[in-house]
Amino acid sequence: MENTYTNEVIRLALKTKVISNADDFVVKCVEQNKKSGRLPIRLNIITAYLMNFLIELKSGSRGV
Amino acid sequence: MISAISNITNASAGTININAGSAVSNLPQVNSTALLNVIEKMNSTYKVLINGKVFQTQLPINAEKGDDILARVIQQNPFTLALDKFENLLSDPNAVLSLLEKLQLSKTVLSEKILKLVALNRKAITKSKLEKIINYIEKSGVEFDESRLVLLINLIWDNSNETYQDITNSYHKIFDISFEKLSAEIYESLLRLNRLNLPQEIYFKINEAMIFDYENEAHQFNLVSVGDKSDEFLSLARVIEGEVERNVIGASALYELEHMQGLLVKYILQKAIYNKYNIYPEFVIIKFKSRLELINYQFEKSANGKDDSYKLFINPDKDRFENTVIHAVMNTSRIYGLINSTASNFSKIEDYLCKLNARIAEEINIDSYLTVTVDETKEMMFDSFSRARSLNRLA
Repeated sequence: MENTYTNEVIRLALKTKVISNADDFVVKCVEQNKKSGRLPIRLNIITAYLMNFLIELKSGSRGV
Repeated sequence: MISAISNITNASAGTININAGSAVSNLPQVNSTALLNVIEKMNSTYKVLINGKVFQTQLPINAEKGDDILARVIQQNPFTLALDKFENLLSDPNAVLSLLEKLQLSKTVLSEKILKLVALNRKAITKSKLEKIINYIEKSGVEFDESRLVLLINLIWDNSNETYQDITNSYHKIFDISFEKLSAEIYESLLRLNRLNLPQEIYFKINEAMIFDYENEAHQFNLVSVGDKSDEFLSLARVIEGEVERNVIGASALYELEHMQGLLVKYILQKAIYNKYNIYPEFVIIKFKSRLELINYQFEKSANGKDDSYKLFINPDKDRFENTVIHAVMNTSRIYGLINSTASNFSKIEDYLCKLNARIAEEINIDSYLTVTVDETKEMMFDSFSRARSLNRLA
């Protein structure tokens, strides 16, 4: 699954000229990020709470 | 003349222990800074010159013949040197300048900044790598923010000279703009796309990937929008590719879609390289009162034995979010955080955080200790070294 993802990313990166050649280092980083680079979902949940907090602080609504 | 050739007894992380044998009496003082000059590299061992004596040792870094490396003397017997323990000197500008002087490097604003970041990130202070990064930055013509500097330090320090050229070539293309600027360009492109009449699938995927809709009818958070968007951006980039190939849209829409596609791909590549070094810059576009606002933030991961911990730093545009800055550190069971705001916001934030702490504990089973502070010298919080110290206190 990581290979398909990586191949697609690199194909589009070359097509859009974000890179001019697919060097090993970049390919490995993309593969690794798909495989094990993501953060725990609980961190995303807390970030969402904090974004909500910032919005409510700014808008002065819902208790802040 | 070789005064002493000694064998390594231990080389782990940034510390080396050398059996100094009879040379122990003339070793540099404890807590002083020693200069190691690499005379010769023999497979995994090196001959190094310290205070006029030659030692044979392994090094926990990939050093070059002729290189100079700084080390803190931890103890004389056994002779123990640390290559990565200079953080305590960083608050003293004279100490930083004397390290540069010891390496015979020019004392410039840039060299001082790089040396501090190298030490803060616990990399060995090696002259050849410092020269390499300073030359690269000076010649690149690119303005580097702190995240990109830290990333470049990691790339140069972790790779051999042979792969350095390839890496800097890729780096130059992928990081021609900072992550923050990239986020801003995605945001601007999104605003332009919203004014076009494109297929609904494109708008749906944009919403799914990056819009945190505060006023959505279901009152549910879009968690994808606050996390890594690489999968969703790849999917969106492919939908755009299909739309471009269908060739049924006007030239200006086509240009904007292709522009967005390039930005999405650049995001995926920047994230992949940052994440390799446990740096996780991120952005979200929040929607409220029918407006869209961009917020940038950053996570950092530190692996401490069995339990990973994550630092979160949210520093939205000062004028738009009540001068509020958020620092937090989370591990598997707890989160500590400081929310720094203006004095006028103090009591309302305090009330809010009481409820938020309870909600976090109840809903995701994490003991939450988010507190509010009012710091009149808040500008300090924007400085990386102060920030690092605040986070260390939290941890």
